[in-house]
Amino acid sequence: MCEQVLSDTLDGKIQINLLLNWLVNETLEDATFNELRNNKCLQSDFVSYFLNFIHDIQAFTNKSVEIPQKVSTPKRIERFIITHDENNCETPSVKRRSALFENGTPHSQMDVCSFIHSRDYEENDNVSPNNSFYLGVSPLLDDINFNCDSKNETKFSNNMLFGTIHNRVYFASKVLQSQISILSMLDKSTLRLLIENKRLKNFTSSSFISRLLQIHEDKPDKTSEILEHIQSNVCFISDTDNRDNFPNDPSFHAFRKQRDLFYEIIRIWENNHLQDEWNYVVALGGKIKALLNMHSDVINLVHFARLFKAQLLMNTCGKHEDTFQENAVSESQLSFLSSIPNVDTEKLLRLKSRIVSKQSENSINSTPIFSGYQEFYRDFILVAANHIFNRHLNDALISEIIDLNNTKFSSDFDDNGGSVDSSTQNAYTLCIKSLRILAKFLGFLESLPYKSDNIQLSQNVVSCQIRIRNEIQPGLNLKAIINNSISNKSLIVTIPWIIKYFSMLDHITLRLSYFEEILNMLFEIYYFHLNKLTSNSKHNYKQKNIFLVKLCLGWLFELPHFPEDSYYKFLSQKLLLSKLTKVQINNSSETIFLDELDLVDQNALYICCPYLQDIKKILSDSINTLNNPNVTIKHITPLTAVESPTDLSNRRIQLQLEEAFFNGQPVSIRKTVEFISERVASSCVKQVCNEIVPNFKKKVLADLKSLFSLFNVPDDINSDHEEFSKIKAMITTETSRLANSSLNALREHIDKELKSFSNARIASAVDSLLAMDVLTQTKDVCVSIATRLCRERVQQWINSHVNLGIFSKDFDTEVRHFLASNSSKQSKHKPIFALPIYGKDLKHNPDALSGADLVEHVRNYCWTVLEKPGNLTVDMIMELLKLIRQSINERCDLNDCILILINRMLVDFLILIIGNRGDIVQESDVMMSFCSIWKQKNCQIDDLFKTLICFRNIHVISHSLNVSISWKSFEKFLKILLEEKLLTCDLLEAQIVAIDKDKLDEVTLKDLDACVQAVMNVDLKTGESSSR
Amino acid sequence: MDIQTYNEIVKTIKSHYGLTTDCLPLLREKFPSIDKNTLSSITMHEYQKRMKYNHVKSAEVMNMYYNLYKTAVDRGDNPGIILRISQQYDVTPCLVAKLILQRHFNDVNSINSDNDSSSQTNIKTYMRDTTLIQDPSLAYEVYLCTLYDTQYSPVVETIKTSLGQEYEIKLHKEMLNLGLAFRDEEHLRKYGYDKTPDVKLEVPIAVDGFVINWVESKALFGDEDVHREYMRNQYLSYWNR
Repeated sequence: MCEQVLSDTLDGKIQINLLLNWLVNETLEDATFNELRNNKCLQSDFVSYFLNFIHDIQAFTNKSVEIPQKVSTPKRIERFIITHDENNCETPSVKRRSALFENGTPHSQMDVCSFIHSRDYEENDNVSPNNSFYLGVSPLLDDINFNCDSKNETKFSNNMLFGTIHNRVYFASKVLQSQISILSMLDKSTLRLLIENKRLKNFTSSSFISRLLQIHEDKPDKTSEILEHIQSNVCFISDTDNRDNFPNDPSFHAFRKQRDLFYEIIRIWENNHLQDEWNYVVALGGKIKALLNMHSDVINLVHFARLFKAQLLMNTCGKHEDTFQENAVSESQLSFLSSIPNVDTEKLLRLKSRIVSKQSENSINSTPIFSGYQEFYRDFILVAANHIFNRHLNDALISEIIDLNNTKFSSDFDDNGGSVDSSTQNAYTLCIKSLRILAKFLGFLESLPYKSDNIQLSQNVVSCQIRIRNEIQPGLNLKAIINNSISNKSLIVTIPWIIKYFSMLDHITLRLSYFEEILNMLFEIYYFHLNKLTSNSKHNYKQKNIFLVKLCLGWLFELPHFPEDSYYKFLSQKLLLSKLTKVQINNSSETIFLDELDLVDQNALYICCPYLQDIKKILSDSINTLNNPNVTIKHITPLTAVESPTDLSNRRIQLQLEEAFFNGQPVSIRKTVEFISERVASSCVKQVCNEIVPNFKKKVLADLKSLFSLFNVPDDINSDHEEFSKIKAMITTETSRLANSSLNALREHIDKELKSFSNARIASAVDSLLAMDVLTQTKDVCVSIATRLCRERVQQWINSHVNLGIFSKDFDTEVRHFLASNSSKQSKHKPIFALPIYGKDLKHNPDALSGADLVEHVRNYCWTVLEKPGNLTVDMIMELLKLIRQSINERCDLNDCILILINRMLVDFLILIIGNRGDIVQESDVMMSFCSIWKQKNCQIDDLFKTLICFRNIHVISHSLNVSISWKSFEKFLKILLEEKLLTCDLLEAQIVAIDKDKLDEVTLKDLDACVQAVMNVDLKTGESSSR
Repeated sequence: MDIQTYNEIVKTIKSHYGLTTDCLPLLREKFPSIDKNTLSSITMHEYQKRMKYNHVKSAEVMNMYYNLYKTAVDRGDNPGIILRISQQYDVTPCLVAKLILQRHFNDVNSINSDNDSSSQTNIKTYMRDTTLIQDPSLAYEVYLCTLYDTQYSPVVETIKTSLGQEYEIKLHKEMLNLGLAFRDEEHLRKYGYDKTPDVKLEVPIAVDGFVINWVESKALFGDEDVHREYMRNQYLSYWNR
């Protein structure tokens, strides 16, 4: 069925858009899809078919390149082959298609494929994003000479679509282009290799390559980490290891011997295990058995299990795990190396790891294997074969997993939108690394009794086992853990180890009903939540977090022993459900989660998904075969040491001393010191943000203004003038000089301020948090270590946050203002709309009328003068004006807008009085009271009387009951305005000129003329008299 | 206010027909114990709802109003023509005035072949400042509308924002007087909060058995619709902040 759909699509019988629509809208009951539905093909089936199709073709045609071991689970490939056989591939349509390709117009069809493929990825229908990489990358590496003779092959002649290298590369580059967001997660060198890939260059647009380049540029070089002392064995901790923790003396002393023997065993293994004839069982079997039987008390085994676990973590999660697991640099060698001055152990190890190339063991979709130290611990468990020990080890692993899984990572410097400093990121990386190791061993231990060499179990055997074990539950309460991490938004901590744990379990266990439920939870996360997060750009979740969870889950779902059809079963159930309920499936769950902190860095990503490394490997391997001229063979270039060797070794010895100090103290001391340093650093940063920087900025802005005053800009200068641009350039250079010098000064200032700030705080915090009986010297050491840690943290933050950006924005606006104010001197004042939250003045009389009340009062008076003019008296008007004056003077919450409104309404009110009760104005001096308010200039308006002489006002006056009195009053009004300098003669003249005289009747025109004339004459006289 | 009083107020408003200016004094007389700002806020909501039903902005309606106005002017009716039309159709005066103005300018523009896009902004300007209207009687008529319309007049916006600020400042002063520890909007915005209530209490307080974390000043009467609307658009985001 699916075959039919695909071939129809490729033939153009089914429109590609229709198909895509159909794939996206699962529930659409549209008649247009009838054609597709006739094929009785479910969307999910089609997707799985299509993916198999692509993957299979890859596997088939891709002979020259080492392809991923498994591109699909066996069952689905089978299904593909079956559907394939059902449809005879020698159908005419196939032939026609082949012909089409030979005619060289395949692009549209290839587009179809890549379209569908990308959509699959985005919608999470695809089980594994990992495969997309391989799919995308591998054709780029194909041997150019690959001959497309495959058309003669009978069985897969259908695959002509991918028969030519041209088509496959085209497809691959299309897929890669659509997945640029994923590509941006890759590391720098992989990106470099991709950019330099000739084929990709030929097949993609230059904009794509330039975007890749951009991403490449933005990637930081490998982050250099702070030198850490390499601790290689578990120290004696008095809280948990002293005599009080054992039942009796023999047990206590036996454990001492057990501990020593354990380290002896490790040493023997380290020194010998790479030798050819060395045999683990022969050399260590007896010792291991002796160790475990030395004292059979349960308590000893509990202690030993804990030691075993701690040492396991130390060996496998140390910073150099990668390097020494393969190279077997023994512990003694290592400590020896680190104590030689002038030798950088780290560099040495890196060099070694580069020379000795690792075999690619973590190939995609293969179950995890044990390498390096892990091998030792695995064999120890196997050889010991002690079920009591296994049980206790199990307990120890679980308790540690729970502890670590509950680690809270917080953004130290809050309010930064989830960004964290690199030490928190490192802590996170270490945490998941440890969790993954623990989960791996836990899974190993739990599945130990069930592991069978026989991979192909008959259905009967499987169902029998399932029946027996169906009610068994694992030691960890996985359901609760997943649910908790969803609600705590800590999936990025939980998922990486859960999948490791699952991957270690056996075939049967994964099919038990308890696990089925868990898997459904994981599917739910994978399909709905991640999908929603990716599609919903509103939630600015950290892309890397999503990507990490996606990759991890995808990897698990593709493992060979993973229940192959379960994901599709899950999908189709959901589809069915949504069809029944007519609800869009995406809405089924509202919770959106995922840690909002930007914890996942590239490092963490590559640790959780080691197979990402393989992409680089494949790409770089191919460089040689492709004879790429851009090949650069990397040489190890010596770097100039920033610090002198003595400094470096001093620092190293300092760190070693600190580490030794903490090892000798109870754990709580270390925790306290770390806690104090972290919190004090956080408050330092807040101090910088809220106090130091703003104050400093004020000072610098004042400096800037005084700098401006040195520049003399001529008044009449034009902004296009040459002189102007010269001055502008000068100002710009001066400003940037000031910014640079200010930045240095600021950093010094911060340094000085924080020293006293943090010292006092740390000292008092250490004093109050440590026990009374701690020695003064110990306290002092704690203070100094906390101070150093705190300074380092703060310094890191300052380096990344205190930069020129602090000044540049304000400086730019200042410069712009300065230049603008010079080029156009008369800047218009706009009314201030917003008031400060405490009002514009401190004194406030809440009993005075509010702005809204005043407006209402004036309005009421307007109504009165219109409706019952006879009721209006001078006293009423005077009372109103008094109230207004009071409010303006005494209330602090009148903004400019409302003041403008009140002033305007007063003008209108006066006009209405003139029109309806001209007599009032004539007989009293109310007008002067009005003017006294306007003259207060209580708000920024200069156009209050700009349109005093207008049709509306003339209409009011000319329709008065007593026209002559009204005109007389208006005349008086104008005179007063001129006298009080509220209106100028010029403005008045301009208004009169602007009036369209044709719209006025003759009588009115005459009245207006007479009025204006009278006003002008008076003004002329007074003008003359004043000039005289 | 108890729900019964509220319902009675709404009932009074609903039974009132015509200008809100006549409605408010009526309410004040009937419910002397209720603050007048509260009464006008309720009236505002009710009229907004009513206008959604009554006010139709179609060409026919526009022409009808305009013709009514024209005939009345030609007949030499007393001023207040548009007010009377508004009363007759139970649509607030400014809404009627806007349509008539628009129609008036359509005529003028078609003669001057002016661009049409600016007419909408022009009408806003003219409503705001009626002295700019170049037709004596129309200018006066529109002015009367802005004076008598307490709901849709341009001054209403200014009054509303002024009231808003008045109450925010009042809230601020009250909080200071009570000696509560709180952060204002300004502070919250500065520290990058995405949602900023007017006042966020640094130390929560309990009022009538409810824990109060933040206070929002709206200077509005909160009827059911208003609460529902703000709840959806604003308050729910404060939940976990």
